[in-house]
Amino acid sequence: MLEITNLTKSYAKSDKKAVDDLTLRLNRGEIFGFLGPNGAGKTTTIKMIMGILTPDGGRITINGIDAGQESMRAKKMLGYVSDSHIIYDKLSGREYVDFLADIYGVDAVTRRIRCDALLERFHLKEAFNDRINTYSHGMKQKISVIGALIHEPELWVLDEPMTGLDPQSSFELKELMRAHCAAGKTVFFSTHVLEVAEKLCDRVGIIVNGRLVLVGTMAEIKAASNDKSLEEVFMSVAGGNRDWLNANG
Amino acid sequence: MGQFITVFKLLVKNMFKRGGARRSRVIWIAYAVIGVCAGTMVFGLCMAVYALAPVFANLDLLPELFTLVMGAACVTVILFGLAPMMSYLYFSKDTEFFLPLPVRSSTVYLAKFLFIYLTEVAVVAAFLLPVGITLGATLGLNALYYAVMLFSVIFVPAVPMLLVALLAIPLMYVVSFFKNRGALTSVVLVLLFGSVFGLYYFMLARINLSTGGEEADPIELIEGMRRALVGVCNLLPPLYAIARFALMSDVFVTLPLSVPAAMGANVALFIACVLLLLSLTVCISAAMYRKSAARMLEGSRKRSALKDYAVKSGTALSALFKKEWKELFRTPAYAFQSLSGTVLSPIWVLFISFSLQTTVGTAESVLGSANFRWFLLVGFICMVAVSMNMGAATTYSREGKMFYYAKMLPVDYITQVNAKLRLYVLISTATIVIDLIILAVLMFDWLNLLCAALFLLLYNYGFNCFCLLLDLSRPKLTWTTPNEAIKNNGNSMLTTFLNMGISVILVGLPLLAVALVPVLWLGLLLSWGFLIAAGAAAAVVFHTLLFKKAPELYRRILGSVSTR
Repeated sequence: MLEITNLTKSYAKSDKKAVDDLTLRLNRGEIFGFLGPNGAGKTTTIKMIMGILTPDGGRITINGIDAGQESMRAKKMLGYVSDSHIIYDKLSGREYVDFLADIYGVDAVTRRIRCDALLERFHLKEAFNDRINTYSHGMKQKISVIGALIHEPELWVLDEPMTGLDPQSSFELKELMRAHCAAGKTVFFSTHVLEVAEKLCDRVGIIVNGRLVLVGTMAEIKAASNDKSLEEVFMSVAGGNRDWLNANG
Repeated sequence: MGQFITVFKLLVKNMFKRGGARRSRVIWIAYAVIGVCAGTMVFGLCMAVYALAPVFANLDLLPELFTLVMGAACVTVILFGLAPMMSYLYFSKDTEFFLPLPVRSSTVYLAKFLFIYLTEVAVVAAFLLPVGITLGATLGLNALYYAVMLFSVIFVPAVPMLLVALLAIPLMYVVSFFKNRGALTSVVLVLLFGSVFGLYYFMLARINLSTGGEEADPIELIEGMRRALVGVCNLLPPLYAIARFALMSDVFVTLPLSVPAAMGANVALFIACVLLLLSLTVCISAAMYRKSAARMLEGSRKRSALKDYAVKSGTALSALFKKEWKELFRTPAYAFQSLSGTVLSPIWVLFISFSLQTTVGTAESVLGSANFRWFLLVGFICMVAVSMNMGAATTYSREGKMFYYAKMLPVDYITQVNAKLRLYVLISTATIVIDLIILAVLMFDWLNLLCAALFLLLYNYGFNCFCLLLDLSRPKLTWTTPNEAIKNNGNSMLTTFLNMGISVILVGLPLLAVALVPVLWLGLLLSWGFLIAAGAAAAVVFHTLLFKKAPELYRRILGSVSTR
């Protein structure tokens, strides 16, 4: 589904590589959790997948389509929930979702069906006609999710999606991710909440200083770490414990 | 095309959805005030055109008059166009929003460019239609003139847009250097006003040069004026061409053409210029849009290495002062509303003092006397230096839902008031001092300087105390964006208009005294005595009221503020 090969990125004003030779393959129908400490390169990687940043080197393909060569075709398969707030917050929730539906070419009947289901799920029906700048952080996150799913993307990318969500909305979001995968599609999300990653993800990857230091299913990680929890594994690799990595492959 | 329209609709919706149904009365009043001011200005111009049009017609200078009207419309495009050009294209905040979407950057750019262009068309329409209709109605011009006027409304903005696109480039780099949107707005405003004044003085100089001064005979004078106007119009060939086309002028520049041929040549020149200028504008702004988008995405990760870390301690008062200052300076909306006066007021004082020296009466008359100019300028400083600092009048409103923080601090309310008061008094004082230095350099007079300084500093202190007291009595703590806290706030509007009124009264009365009292020293003594007494009274009364009432007002607000 998503194939990243030797992806590298340095920012113009920095000597350090934000993402360093990252190679990763995501399969259809899986939830992939992208973990790492602050400044590790998670958001930079996501922004390159989404076409916001241009990689210095490497290749990204989505469903076999080269995101660098055929960006428009590739973007049509993506849905994105960013970690920052919606910039056009003077629009109402309905106008925002309509805008995205128009851009992705979703017809009126389909958007109505999808929108109703998502609004029901997130309990956002009453606020749908209100302006986004009157929403709470959690409500903004929810409308952003609805906007990202209105065209039912093949690959749904979320950057720190759980931030600011109440337990119920967080649960609904996790359910949505599962449902998305059950429909044969793929979810890629970054998070700091290790418990969420542990329970939700089919596979996780840990990025530290721009390098992907660990990728595997939960079972593989547990097996390699003598049944340690994800938190302990994360602390070992993200805390700079290379011995653990060397010892556990 | 569909995506282009969708993006364009998004920009329009976002622009016009400011308040929705919850628009408060204050905003409507603000719009009404702006409408009245703009309406008055346009009405004044219409009256001027109504009075001057027959004179220009008799002198066979109608195309030149219409060119000047369109030129003035172009100046409004520059004034109103720079900010949208920078915020929508060069400092676009929505790059990250659009890039993940399956829309081409060129589509987004073109939608934005069209949006900016149409806002400028609206500005030109608001200016050109009433003035142009007045010109047409006064002289009974034919249908062709009105048709061309409508055509001009649509295409005239293309002429100054290239200048707007070019001017915005250095500004963008200057602003990137400061990394502060407050600085951006100040720089833009300084440049805008500088350009307008520069243009004004350039035109005056040209007219003066061509008329040969006051000694020239009337025929010389008229010829000189004609030469000057034609000279200015020649600098604006597309506008001059379309004006000549509209008025069916029989001569195109210096070519001996028949009327139809001249009209054809004029319209062809206008269209060619518009197309060329538009193409250049699109090329330049598109390149800058791409470049600035890349800069914003790539350049945001610069970190300055920590070289030295010194630990400094201070008092609670200084800590609160620094916190207030940093919040003010680092929030663009706040910085602009509080500090723009410090940047703009000296420029205005400089230009106005120059203007007064050259245009108001002679040295022998009362109006031309140095004392009169001093009072007039002190009134102006009082008006702008104090009014434009809206910091004090909104300081509590700006705390918003964080106001409860005041209660958590182990610092008494008087100290908290003191920290705020010191900052805003200091900002206005700095402005006043800079303005007075300019006055001292241009028209030094120790007595006027000393008295003006005393009055302005006392009045400034009193007025800032009043502003704090007002905002503490009725703060607007509920808002969603920083702009709302300061712009849609009744306190800032009330204090601005109140200060303007007070300034006019305070300085109007002494002006009368200087003009009417036959003995000059007595007039001066009475005038300055009145002003200083009024300033001192304001300072004492409002200082006392503020510090007496502050604790109680704090408790009252904290009793009602939500901590969620």
